[in-house]
Amino acid sequence: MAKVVRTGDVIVFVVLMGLLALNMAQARWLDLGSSGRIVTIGLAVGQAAVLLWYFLELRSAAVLTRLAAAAGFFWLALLFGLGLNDWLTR
Amino acid sequence: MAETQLIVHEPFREAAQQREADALGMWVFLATEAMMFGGLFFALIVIRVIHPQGAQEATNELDMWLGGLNSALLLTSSLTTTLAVTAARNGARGFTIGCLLASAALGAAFLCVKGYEYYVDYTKGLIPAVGKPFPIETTGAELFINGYFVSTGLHAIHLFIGICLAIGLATVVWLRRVPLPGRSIVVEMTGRYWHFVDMVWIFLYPVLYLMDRGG
Repeated sequence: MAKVVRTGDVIVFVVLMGLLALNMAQARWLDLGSSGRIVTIGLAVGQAAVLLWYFLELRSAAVLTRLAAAAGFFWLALLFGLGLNDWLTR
Repeated sequence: MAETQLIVHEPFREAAQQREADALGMWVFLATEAMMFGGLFFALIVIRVIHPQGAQEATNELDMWLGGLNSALLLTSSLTTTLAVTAARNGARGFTIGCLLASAALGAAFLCVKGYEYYVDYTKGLIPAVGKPFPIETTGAELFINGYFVSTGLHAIHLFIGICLAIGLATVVWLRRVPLPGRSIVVEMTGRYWHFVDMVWIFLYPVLYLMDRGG
C-alpha cells in the first residue's frame, strides 16, 4: 500500500485539521475584538491555499491552468476589494 | 505516473497534452463556480458589516460544533479522494474503488448532519415560510439566516452531485469500463470537483458559524 498512500498527503490532511481546530478554538474561547474577523478569514484562506496547492495540485499544474484558476479568484478579489473598500478604509 | 500508461483520445497526440487540456477545462468550470459562491460570500459579509448585532445573534443560533464536525468529515473525504487519485494513477483498482466509496460515505454523513441541523433550525423557527415565527427581532438576523440557508443549500446540492459522481465512478471502475491507470484522468477530474466543494465549505463554515461569535 506504500505505493498509493503518500506521507505528504497525510501531513497535508493533518495541517488542514489543525487549522480547522485553531479556527474553532479562537472563535469559541478568544475574544479578538475587531481583528477577530481577519483572523477567522485568514485561517480559512490558509486552509484553502493548502488545499489548492496540494490536493488540487496547482503546485504541479501548467502555467495556463494556474492562470485559469487564478482568474476566478482575481475577479473575486475585485468584487471584495471594490465592494468593501468603504468599510475597510474608514 | 508514467504518461505512456494513459489512453490518449482524439484530438490529442500526447497524454501530457490531453491531461493539461482536461485540467484547464475543469479549472475554467471551477472558476465560474468560485465566482458564483463568491457572490454569496460577499452578500453574507455585507450583511455582517451592515447588521453586526443581528448577524451575531443569528450566528449564535447555529451550532459551531456540528458545523465543525461537518468540516472534519469533508476534510477527511478530501484525503480519501486524494488517495483515490493516487491509487488510480498507480492502477490500484480495488483501493481506488474503496477510497471513492469512503469519500461518498463521508459526504453522505455530512448531509445527514446537515439534515439534522436543518431539523433543529426548523424547531427553532429559523427556516423561512414553514414552522414557527422567526425567533429573533433584531434587524438583519433573518436576512443572515436566509443567506445561511441559500449558501448551505447550494453547497449541499453540489455535494450531492459529488456523491453521485463518486459512486458512479466507483461502479464504472469496478465494471472495468474505466480502465486504470489508462483512464485515471477521470478519477483525477472528479477529485478536483470534490476538493472544490470541500473548499467552498472551508469558507462557508467560518463565515456562517465562527465569525463574530465573540469568544
